[in-house]
Amino acid sequence: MEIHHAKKVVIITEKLISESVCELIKDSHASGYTICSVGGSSERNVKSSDDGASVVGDFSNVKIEAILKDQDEALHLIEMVVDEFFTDFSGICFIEDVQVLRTSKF
Amino acid sequence: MELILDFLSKFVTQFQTPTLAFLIGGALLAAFKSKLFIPDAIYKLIVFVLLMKIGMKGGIEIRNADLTTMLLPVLFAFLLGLITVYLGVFFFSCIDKVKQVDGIATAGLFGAVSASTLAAAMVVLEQESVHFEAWVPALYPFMDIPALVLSIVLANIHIKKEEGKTKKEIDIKGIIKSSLRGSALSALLLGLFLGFLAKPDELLHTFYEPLFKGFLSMLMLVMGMEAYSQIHELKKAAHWFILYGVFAPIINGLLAFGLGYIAHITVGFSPGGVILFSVIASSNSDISGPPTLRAAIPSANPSTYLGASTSIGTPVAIAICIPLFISLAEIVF
Repeated sequence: MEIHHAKKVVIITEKLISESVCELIKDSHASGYTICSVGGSSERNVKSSDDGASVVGDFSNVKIEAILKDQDEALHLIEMVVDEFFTDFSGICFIEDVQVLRTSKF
Repeated sequence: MELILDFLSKFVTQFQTPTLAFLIGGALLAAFKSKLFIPDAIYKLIVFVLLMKIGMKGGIEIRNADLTTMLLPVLFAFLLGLITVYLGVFFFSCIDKVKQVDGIATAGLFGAVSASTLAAAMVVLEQESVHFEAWVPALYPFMDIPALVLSIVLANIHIKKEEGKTKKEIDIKGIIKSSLRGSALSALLLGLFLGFLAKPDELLHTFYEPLFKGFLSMLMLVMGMEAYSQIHELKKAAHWFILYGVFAPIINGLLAFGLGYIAHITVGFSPGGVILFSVIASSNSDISGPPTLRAAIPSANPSTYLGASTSIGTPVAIAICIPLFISLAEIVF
């Protein structure tokens, strides 16, 4: 079975803007995305990852992942996300090398 | 002097009531890093049950109420939502050290309304056998939404002036929609609607009412834990926010008390209604307000308004404002 190289864009940001970020992903070359709740620590804050009661909703963080066929598409996507959101909202983006089986899926 | 003594005795009694005791208990648990854990899903269920009960009861009463007596309090609620924000913005504009947009967001949150403080005040009033019109909680959105909208509009005007940026049009419709869709307000409005149309009296008396006080105590525990855990946020903000957090609820509540008194004289608004109206005005939004502000005023630092409201404003509204307005009402009426 042949394995193909692809790029995974990972965006860790505030849940509050996840819908808008996903809209950008839909408009890019990515055919889909995966989103999950995350916690951790950064220069700004420590975010809990447990599911304890939080009075102030929607202040948690999410990790959004999307797979694209090549580096240029991936770079273009994270540039758009950074320009649009990361002046005022917290978040980080990175690109990872991944290997996929079915390129038709991406 | 009589007022102060009466207030102090009420204040001491308040510490023995479950409402405040659970709030302090929650803060202590968080301070001692207790592993006690209330899942978010349970918290959301509690908010739903409390607001449904408040809404249904209000809806049932509106069915039989003379709606003209509601008009003046509704107008006053709307005005207070705007006045309290303007007052807060004015306070912060006098202080050079504070980033104006942080001040505007904080003023917006304090102008908006807290469902948990409202529920706590209702339980205390019931314990004290003080009667109030069950439709008073329905004033919530009339104060909450104008306050949030005004602060967002003012913040955007300020940002435009400051940075000369041509920002996108302010989506007032979107802000109203996101407020109405918030979990607390949706439950309250649904409850009002059901109470008004569906005759849910039996369900209310057999299910929602018996759960109310117990669920409120759990909510207070969560609020206490949250208040303590947000204190670290406050350390990042200027001391002016702490000062505002202490005094804004009292001043906003006193303004409401004055307007409520006018409604008492003109349309016969009950003393209990005036107390509850004042507590609504002294509360600050804790569930839906912060995310709405974060999304609409992203350049404001959330540490400032979250710390000031959750750690200072809400405990002040519950611990000080509720007994203050009850004792004030006993003297005035």
